[in-house]
Amino acid sequence: MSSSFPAVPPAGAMSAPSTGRIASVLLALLACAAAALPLLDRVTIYTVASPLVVVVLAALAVWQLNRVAGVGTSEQADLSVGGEAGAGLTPLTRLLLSVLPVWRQHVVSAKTQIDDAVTELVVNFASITDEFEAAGFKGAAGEGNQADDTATVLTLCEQDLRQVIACMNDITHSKGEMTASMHELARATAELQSMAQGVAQIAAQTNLLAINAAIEAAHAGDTGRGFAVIAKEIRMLSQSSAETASQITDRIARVTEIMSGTSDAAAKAASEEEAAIVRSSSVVTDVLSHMHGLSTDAQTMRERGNVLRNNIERLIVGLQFHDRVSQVIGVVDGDITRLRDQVESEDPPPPAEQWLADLQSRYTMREQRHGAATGAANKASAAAPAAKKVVFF
Amino acid sequence: MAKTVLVVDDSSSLRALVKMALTRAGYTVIEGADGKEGLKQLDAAPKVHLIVSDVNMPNMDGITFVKQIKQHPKHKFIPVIMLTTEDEEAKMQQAKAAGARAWLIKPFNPPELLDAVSRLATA
Repeated sequence: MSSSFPAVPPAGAMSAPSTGRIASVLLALLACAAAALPLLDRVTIYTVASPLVVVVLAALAVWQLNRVAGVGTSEQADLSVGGEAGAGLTPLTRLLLSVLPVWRQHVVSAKTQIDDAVTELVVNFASITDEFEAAGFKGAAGEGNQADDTATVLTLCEQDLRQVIACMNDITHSKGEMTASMHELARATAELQSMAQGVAQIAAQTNLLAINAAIEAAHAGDTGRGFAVIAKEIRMLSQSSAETASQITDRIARVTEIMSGTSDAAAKAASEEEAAIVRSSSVVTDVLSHMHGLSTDAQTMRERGNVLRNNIERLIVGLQFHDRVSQVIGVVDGDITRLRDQVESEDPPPPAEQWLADLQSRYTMREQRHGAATGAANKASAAAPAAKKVVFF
Repeated sequence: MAKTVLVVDDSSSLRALVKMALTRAGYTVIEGADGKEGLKQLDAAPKVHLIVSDVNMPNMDGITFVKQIKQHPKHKFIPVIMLTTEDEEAKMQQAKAAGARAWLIKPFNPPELLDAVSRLATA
């Protein structure tokens, strides 16, 4: 198809044959006029030149007429060209029939590209939110109680660990009591040792007394024989007492030695246990501190999860712009097709008001209707509050 | 066991958004691009507890889809929520007359959608 169309001929443009006839007649008249001039009496240079000038002017006139007629001829030739499909079509019609499908193609392409891009965006976004929730940013109750479960577990752990510390403290206290008892026992043993020594002294003195009694009995002669026997028995008893006291002393010394060793070991063990308990308490305190930190982190994660969830909800609302844009594009696409069908049919087009009314009947959204609205009545409609979002039947 | 929701809309991105909102709340989602595909999905799925459908769709629009469902012996008890950009009262009344249970205007807010779904989904 030619890239530029010739100018549309003005109304009343002449056809080539009529133009030619007029031109021929005019030329003939001029020629006759020119031929008649020499018949005049006065023959001058003007008489000779005038006809020539007239003929030249006439020729120019004819040429111009033919030129204009040639434009009409070529346009008529154009109108007759176009094959079977273009028979009788105006250049504007052919232009529209060629351009409208291209427009529609671009519109459909834009809609498809937006569809695909937004769908992929939504799918990727859904994947990202899944990862965040798997990492623990789940938000408030209703969407998983992981944070609450974590806090409960941490609280129970803290309670158990504090019980362990209390038990350790009880053990330390019991060990202290045992040590005190052992010290008490050591004092009692020392007292027994002292008492045993007393018994030995008594036995020694009794032995001396018995020896003295035997001496006196010997001095007493026969009358002292009975007393000598008693003195001898007393002496034997004192020796026996001394031996017993010695044995007691030995036993007490042995017990004392054992108790001393035991007490030292107990004291050492108690000291080590106390040190271990102190270390354990310190560790438990650190663990509780870390757990408290974890609980705080869990709370923070839950709060951030709530923020994330709110942002996700806002984003879901925002991404729905595409659906609305797609519907607008769809309506335009349909109207381009309708225009093309109208142009192709060559029927007289309907009035613009009817066309627009038909277009508006396809609107599905408030902003489409208000965007096309004009006049006070429609402005009032545009100012009306939006319809209720959710209606249950 | 998770409840199954059928989402019918000619916009693939809108279906993806609804699916994301519902799956995060624990629902299983199946999809259809128009009423005809929606009917096929209903026939193929073991059980569907609720349908979320657009109104303006090619091949079979949402209101016709609802009418078809309500005439089907197996599917007629499935509740339907219309999710649409339409705000015309006449269209809403058509949907109500066809048997829909709710009318939700786009853009939808996830909590509103989830509230409607939880209220209407069958046991």
